[in-house]
Amino acid sequence: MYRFERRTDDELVLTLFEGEVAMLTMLLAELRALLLQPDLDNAATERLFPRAYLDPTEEEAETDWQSLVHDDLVREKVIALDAVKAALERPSPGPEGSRQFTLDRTVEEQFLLSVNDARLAFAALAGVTGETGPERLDEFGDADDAIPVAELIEWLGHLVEALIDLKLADLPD
Amino acid sequence: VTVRLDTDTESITVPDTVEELLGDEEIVGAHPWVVIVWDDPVNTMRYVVYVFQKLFGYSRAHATKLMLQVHNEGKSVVSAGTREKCEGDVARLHAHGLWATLQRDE
Repeated sequence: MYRFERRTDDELVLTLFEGEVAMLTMLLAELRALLLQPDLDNAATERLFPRAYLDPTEEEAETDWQSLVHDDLVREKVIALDAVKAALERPSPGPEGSRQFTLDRTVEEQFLLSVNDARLAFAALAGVTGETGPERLDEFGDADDAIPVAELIEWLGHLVEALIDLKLADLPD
Repeated sequence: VTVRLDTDTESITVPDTVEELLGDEEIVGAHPWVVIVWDDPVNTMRYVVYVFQKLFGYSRAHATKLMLQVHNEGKSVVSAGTREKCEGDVARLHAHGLWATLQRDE
């Protein structure tokens, strides 16, 4: 069973199992809530919206740049998340009890960026700074059913990599 | 994160300077700002290659060279130009989840 299958130039079919649909929907909703928090001072949003200037003498330029681009970046990410959510709400029956979702080129790209953002955000929240990190991401659910963060990031990574396989094939060598 | 690359990494030469990167000293001299992408532990190598190709139109080989420089040396200059152009490039890279900054070319 292929994760992604390009049926036509503007039609990509994504196949997920029911539990995966629920997990992805929950994670993307958590990411959306993080993006829209009034207080953006947390590890996830610091990672998604880093500084443009590291030079401390460019603080005024940094402030100007943030005022110009930050709201647009947040808006683009929220629009992408909403588009992916809408796509995940329109399943068709797939093989082996799976669900299939049709993505056009725009939503396909929004899916890629949203899932990648989710990896970045949850890894940052979990304190992942290298090849190893905390084993569990306790921010989600009770401690008893907290999500194993390494598995979560790996699973999201599989989705990203499977889609990248197709998208790199669309680009010239 | 397990990453698969189809490139023979030992044969890759990474540009050391903006001039070498862009191949046009006049352009660089007129626009002394550069965009740097920094290594991070989460983005996959192939995702970074894809973003470089998509945003800058680089060939697969050139995008891979830059990605490997980020991975192996911690950072790489990926574009250059006016301050305004570089600010735009940084915004586009941030939109794609890459950790990018701009600075004057040294």
